[in-house]
Amino acid sequence: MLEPQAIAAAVREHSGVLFRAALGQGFSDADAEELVQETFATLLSARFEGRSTLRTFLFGILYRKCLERRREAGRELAVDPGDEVFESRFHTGGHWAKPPRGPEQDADAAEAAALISDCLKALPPQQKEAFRLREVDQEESAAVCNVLGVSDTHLRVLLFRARAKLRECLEGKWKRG
Amino acid sequence: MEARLTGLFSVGSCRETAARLAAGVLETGGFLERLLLRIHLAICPPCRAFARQLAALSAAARAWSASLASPARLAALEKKLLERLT
Repeated sequence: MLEPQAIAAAVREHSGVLFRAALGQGFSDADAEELVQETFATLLSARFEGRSTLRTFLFGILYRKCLERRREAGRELAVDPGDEVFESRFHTGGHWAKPPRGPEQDADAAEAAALISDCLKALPPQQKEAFRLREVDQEESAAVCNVLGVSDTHLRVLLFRARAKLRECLEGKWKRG
Repeated sequence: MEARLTGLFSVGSCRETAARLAAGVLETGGFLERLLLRIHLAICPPCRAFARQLAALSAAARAWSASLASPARLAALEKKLLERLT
């Protein structure tokens, strides 16, 4: 059990990233706040043994709470429709059939955030969370596997699918831009 | 264009390279895997463009996350949680 002071320190340090993570999973402001509060309430009674960082431990609690709330198992499709889109970019020999295009110049932060927002909404929750934990929170692969409860190989598949779809989606927007 | 060094070893097709880049092998792969990717990237402009797109994706995701809640909203949340939990 953590001391009240340690809980307060954890709130100060981690509530912001957890809140953004819950919002990023598509929950409303009110739901995200409730999920973060429940996460810290669970921490009060949990046994944190220091096998991961406290932040990774909290991400794990939050992720399970998000799944419960959504009542989705977060199952991954054996064949993902995005895989075909990726394959269509190449000739059978593995050469580029349609080489990558854009962005011509770096977008500013607000513009980039707006562009990717819609693309992220279309991702399945587990792919989105794998991508978010790696790219936004910059968690180590082992920590992401721990949070999502997946193997290292499965994580690579999740990240491949997330990045391949997001890249394809953004490329369409870059070309129009 | 397919980058391939003849002779000693193959550095993989563009399809394999793009798939490995998207899976994050450049950050988390073994030494040899990363080396082969780097060699392929050094000689293949389309795959370098693909890698640049992935980097732009990463930057966009960080900007998106930051845009989800303002610092003022986070401060208000922190205050509320501290009152309720401690």
